[in-house]
Formats: sequence, structure tokens, C-alpha cells
Amino acid sequence: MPITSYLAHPVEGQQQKLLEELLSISHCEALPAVNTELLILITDTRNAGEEASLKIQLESLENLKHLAMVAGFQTPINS
Amino acid sequence: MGNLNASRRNFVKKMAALSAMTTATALFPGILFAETQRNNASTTGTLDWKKAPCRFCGVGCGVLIGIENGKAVAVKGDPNSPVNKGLCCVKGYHSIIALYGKDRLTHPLVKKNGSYVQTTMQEALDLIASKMQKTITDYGKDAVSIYGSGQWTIPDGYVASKLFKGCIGTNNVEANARLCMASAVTGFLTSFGLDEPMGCYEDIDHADIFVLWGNNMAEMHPVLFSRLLDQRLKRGAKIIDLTTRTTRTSKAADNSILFRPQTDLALANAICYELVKKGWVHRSFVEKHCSFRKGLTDMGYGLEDNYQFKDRPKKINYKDYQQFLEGYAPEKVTQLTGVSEKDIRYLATCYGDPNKKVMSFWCMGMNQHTRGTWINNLVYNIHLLTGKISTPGNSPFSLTGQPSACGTVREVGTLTHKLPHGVVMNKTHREHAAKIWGVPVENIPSKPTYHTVEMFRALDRGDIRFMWIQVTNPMVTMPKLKRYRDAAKKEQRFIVVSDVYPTPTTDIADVILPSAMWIEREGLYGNSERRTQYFEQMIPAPGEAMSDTWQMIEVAKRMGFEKQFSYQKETHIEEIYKEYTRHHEGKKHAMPPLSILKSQAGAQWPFVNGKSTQWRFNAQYDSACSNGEAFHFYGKPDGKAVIWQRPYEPAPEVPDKEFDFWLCTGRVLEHWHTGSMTRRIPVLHKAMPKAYVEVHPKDAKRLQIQTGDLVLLTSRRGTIQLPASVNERGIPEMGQVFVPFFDEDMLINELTLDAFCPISKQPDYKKCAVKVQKA
Repeated sequence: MPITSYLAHPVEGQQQKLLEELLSISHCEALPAVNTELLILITDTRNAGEEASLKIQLESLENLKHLAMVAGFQTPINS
Repeated sequence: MGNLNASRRNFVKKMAALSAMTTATALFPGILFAETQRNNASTTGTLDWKKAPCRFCGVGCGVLIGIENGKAVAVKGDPNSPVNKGLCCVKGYHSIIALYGKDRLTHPLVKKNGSYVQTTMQEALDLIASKMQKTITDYGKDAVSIYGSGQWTIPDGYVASKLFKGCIGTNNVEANARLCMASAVTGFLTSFGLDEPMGCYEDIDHADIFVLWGNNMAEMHPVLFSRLLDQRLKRGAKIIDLTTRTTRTSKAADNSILFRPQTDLALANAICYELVKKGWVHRSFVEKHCSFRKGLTDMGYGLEDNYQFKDRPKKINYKDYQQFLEGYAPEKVTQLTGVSEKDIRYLATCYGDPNKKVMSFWCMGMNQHTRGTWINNLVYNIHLLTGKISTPGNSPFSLTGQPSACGTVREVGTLTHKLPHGVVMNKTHREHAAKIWGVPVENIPSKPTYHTVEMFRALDRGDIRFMWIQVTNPMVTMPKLKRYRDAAKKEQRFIVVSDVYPTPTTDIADVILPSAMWIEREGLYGNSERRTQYFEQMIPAPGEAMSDTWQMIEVAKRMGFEKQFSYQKETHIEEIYKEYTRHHEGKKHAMPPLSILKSQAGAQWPFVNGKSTQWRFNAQYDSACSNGEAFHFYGKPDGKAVIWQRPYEPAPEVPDKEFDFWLCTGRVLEHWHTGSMTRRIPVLHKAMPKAYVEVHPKDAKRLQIQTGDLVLLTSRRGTIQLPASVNERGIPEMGQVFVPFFDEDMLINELTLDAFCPISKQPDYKKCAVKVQKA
């Protein structure tokens, strides 16, 4: 648990930089839109602690303007 | 096995990506992703996705629940929902975890010799019915009561009203929505003669300016706030935050304007003064569609038992109103409000500019107010004076905090004075209800009994002896809590509590009934924009847990009302909804048929000729308009909305030498209401494990308080101890503190005052006086 997906809005003109920043963080995958300044962010953490720590990392990104959550999946690691 | 797990996890990730792409497509038509990415996002799988409105706040987001092997395992925003367009907030996406807390109530418990003993559902329901009957025999029908909630589904509230008002014959029906939106109701009724917003969320896509009146939307209504931010990104819309405390909303807004507690009344009048002075009044709209009234003033605050108030409105004219506003010139109110003359004029410009469309949003800041009805009236005044109402993008919009505060409490009418259609005081309305319920009209008393605060006072006095509490937690939420907790524990009182988890309210129960939660039963909710939404039963309820609807039907049958409650178990929700819609027939409030609600993400009443009505009172959209004009405020006999002359009056308790701080209470992003569900979601609990008191950094320095230090808060009602929060999430102004109410281990309502708005009877949780000391 959990796998979540978000819409990530970059600061104007910083989509590429935000993509690089997101890809450098563990537990994150990011997919950029090709004609709009927007990225899809998918996070995959093993427990609540990892999720909380990831949240702090995401909040500190300078090129991230706004993050809107879309989906969450309760997927056990060892079941 | 490891490979299988990895493959399943990859598959789930693809589904998560696809959900986000679908939502992005809904929000940004024409958006493209690289083909390889789209191909990677699989659309097939073993999850069975079913739609529902979210369990938590009043926004009413559409969510899709992924069911696998009889268990809810995933949540995503429903891209087909016009409410959230696929978005989902942190509470919504964790909502299913709240179904599976370790301490779910699964079997009835009966208190015997001070301890709870497990019993069967049949025995518990027998006991409840016999206790109710004995109480009626011994003390009269007004000695029994039911206290429900804006989390009641529509069928729950409907059977409660039918049983108590129609069959037993008492108006002792109330709901916790009295504590959260009663002032919005009386605001609508006094200004327009009909309840609930005239506009809808689609207004967000048209408005140029959003003015948030004491409304921390970023934390309380995050999905709608995301829609506001989205409009700012796309169209440059502005967000103005009017607030008493700096919040996450303030930080995200274009302009945050701080005002002193209670002075929103003066601020709104000052905006109206400027509109008149600058010639920004839409004269032809006002002449055709508005009348002017003033009511009684100096009404008191309801602090004494059996307090009564009835307003006596008087007609006034535009000149009288103009003269009244002279007392609210910006230079006269700047000191009182703490808002600069420049900011007051800026706000008036925002509303007055004929080329800008404006939405006003509010929630508890305006409603939990000892002059809550007045401040609602005053914000409507601004929109009426400028004619910025009932058109796309021009919309005064009162938000709600619970999933069915509108659908159940306001529309079904689970308040002492209400019926599903109309009020108990009106003979025609009583006859209409009695006919549909199949009861003699004499059964329904013509006088309201107790509003919520007075109902708990009546329990204390012994006027009420039996209370059934469903889906709510009053032993955390009642103001001046100690009096009402002690009342519930008195001898010769019998309390039944239906809930899904143990709470401080189940602690005072004589019988605890385990309830089926949300998608463990079938039901309907109604959200803030008049949207009714249906959800099916998706998973089984645990143990003997039963829906609140069926609990009441079983008790009604045991009390001899088999005829009125002859619903079949398999079809009862459909039967009840069909019966309920008969109350609202007609163009002003026609409800959508269940078949429509099953097929789409809800529909908005009035639902006429197969269509939802998005903007009421506007002849272009609302078929109930019949005066031949562009607008028709048909809730009032003369077809005109009322502009009210309402003055500023102070709060009942203000800081003084001994209790020198204002106390404001509220919610936080992670927890919903009293936290009885969200505190059982580990990630949310971990993110916000306990309550705290926010103190301004300068006050903290003076009192030598740092974040984490224990602080004693004392009011005239009690003392509690909490850790301090300085310069963190929210920052109150100097001389003010803020405490969230979600934490049952730190009950802030031990300190609050049970003063209420004399018209709406809604308590004020935002203002009382406290002393702050380092522990």
C-alpha cells in the first residue's frame, strides 16, 4: 500500500525540470503530457512511513505548483 | 509468488496512470500523452468498479470503488462526475480503509450493571421499541426523540421523520446539520423563501473572481479548491480570502484580507455602502426583482433555557436602506473590522465591476455565528444589489460539510420544524405529508419542539427521557459539552446510539447498535449543489451490522406501525425513494427518478422534463419561473428576493482582562469532523495524530511558548491542555487561538459556549473568550 496517481502542475515553463526532479525521487514515476504543461505522477510506497516521507519531499519541490490527487489503490506488498 | 505480486503491482500502477490520464483529458480537452505511455496503461483487470458519492464532506465527489473478492480495495475519482471531474482528495482516496478498522462495531451491545453485554440484533431492537413505548406511556410522546445527521442517507432521514412526526406524533426530530448549516437555511429562506443554492459548481468554470468568506477551502473542500486553482491557471481567475486566521487557503489566494471576529457583518455592509456610493447598483435588477426589509435587532444569544425569538420583518424602501448604510462607510468600520479602507474599496470594486463574474463561497465561518442568518443575508445583499446571481459564474454559494446535509436534513426535513415538503406549522403541508405517510393529519403536531441545543437541554431537565442518536457524535461536538454529557448520564434517561465505531457518544449509550457503513448498504446522498446521488450495496456489512434505515423500520414495526413501514427488505430503498419523491412533485423541487440516478453521477433538482436545473430563478434555465421576466424569485409571494437591513452586533462573549484571547475551532485537512472514521485510517492518523492549539508567534514569545509545549486553555466552562503550534499550518492573529475539534482525547468543546443565532438556532463555535497559559 499504496499506489496513488496525481496530476502535477509545474511552475510555468518548468515542466521538464519538474519531470527530472520527480524521476529522481524514489517511489515516483512521472509521465509528461506532450502538448500541455502537466504531468501524471504515480507513487508506489510500501508503508505509511514511506508515504509520509514522500509527501514531504514532494511538497519541497520548487518547480511543482500544485498537486491534485486522482486515485489510490490498497495493494498489499506481500499477499 | 513474488513475480505474481510484482506483476499485480505493475498492473495496478498502470490503472493508476490511466485514471490520471482520463481525469487530465476531462480537465484539459485535447491534452495528449505519448503513444507508448497510453499503450502501457492497461484498461483490463479483475476489479469491479462501482460508482458512489464520497462518504465524507458535502462536496459530493463522485468516486469509483474497486471491488475484489467482496472487499473494497481501490478508489479513484470518477471522471464522469461533473462535481470532481476525476479528482479525489486525501480523505476520499483513503475512504475505503475506514470500512475496515479493527474495532468496528459488529454486534449490538446492551449496558447491564455498568458493563456492555453482547446481544442479538433482534433482542436489541425489541428492547428499543419497548423502551420507547414505555417512555411515551410514562412521560408522553414528546419525551422521546431522535438525533440524526447530515450523514444519514435520504432513506434514513425519511423513515426517521415518518416514524417520529407521522406515526409517534412528536416533532422531536433533529440532526447535527443544525450545528453546521442551519444559518445557511434561514439565510436562504429569509432572502429567497426557498432553501439551497440557486447556482452550481459549474459556476466555477465561469467566474472571474472567487471571494471566500471565512472559508478555508484548501483544507475543507480541497477538490473544489483545486477547481478554483485550475481556473486561475487556465483563465487568470482571482481568489480572495477573507479570514480571521492565516490558513493554507490564504497562502494560495491572490489576496488574503484579515478581519476581526464577528465584524464580517460590518464588512459586508461597508461593501454595500461602496456599491451604492459608486453607483454600482444594478438599478433595473433591484427595482424589478428585489424588495427591502428590516427585522428586529438586539435579539440576544439563546444562552438561557427555553429561549424564544420570532423576527418581525418590516418593509423599508431603498432610501431607508441607503440611510442605514451611511453608518458603514469604510472610514467608519476600518477600526472595528481591522480591514483597511483600501481593502474594503477593493472588495467593492471586485463585486461592483459589471464586467466581472463573482462567486462568493462560505461554510462554517458564516454559519457558526450568533448572527449567522444576518451574515448570510448580507452576502446575498451584495449579489442582489449588483444583480450577480442566478447566472453562470455569478453565484453566492453556501458550501456544506456533510455528504447529505442538503439531501437528507434540508430536503427530507429532519429538523423539528420541517416536513419533507414545507413546515409543520402549515396545515396544508401537514395534510400533504399525512396523506403520503398514510397517517391521520392530527398525528403531526403543528408546533416545533426542540432545536438541537434545546433538545439536549430538555434531556438535562428531564423533559426528554429517550434519545436515539444515529451517525453522529454529539459527545464530541456539542458546545459547552460538560452540561450535555452529564445530562445524558442522568438516571431515568435511555440513550440508543447507532454507529460504526466506538466513540465518546457510544460511551453514554444504554444500547449500541452496529450500523452498516456507506457502501455496505444501498442509499442516496444529496450534496451542496442540489445533486442527488445513488449508491448500491457493494460489499457485505460486518457481523450483524444493519443500515440505519432498516433499524428504524424494524423498530417501527415493533411499535405497531406495520402498515406505514410495510417495505420489502430487497426493495425498500427504491420503495422509500419513490414515496419520498411524491412530497416534492412540481416544477420547483421535482426529484430525479431512481433509474436516472443509477445510470449517472447524480442529477440536480428541480429535475423537470428529464433535465437537471443548474440555475434556479433564471427563466432561461428554470422552468418554474412564471412571471414573464428574466428572473423570478418564486419562493416569495411577490416573486422578489429580499435585501435585508441587518446591522453589526457584537458576539456574546468577547475577550476581557481575565479571558483575553478569542478561541476559534474548526477542522483540518486530514480528519473529517470528529475523526471517528479518519482516525482509523493509519496514514491520516499518522499525518495528524492529535489536536493542538495554534498561537500567534508574538503571543507565543510573550508567553514563552514554543511548538510542542503544553498549553492550558481555560474558558468560563472548563480547562483543557494541548500542545502548542507556532508558525506551522495555520497562524491566528494576535489575541486569537485556533483548535481543531477532531480529537476525542482533547475535547475543545468543553470550553465553547452554547450561544446560537436566534433565527437559525445554530451555535457559534468560532468565538468565545479563553485564557492561554503555558502548562
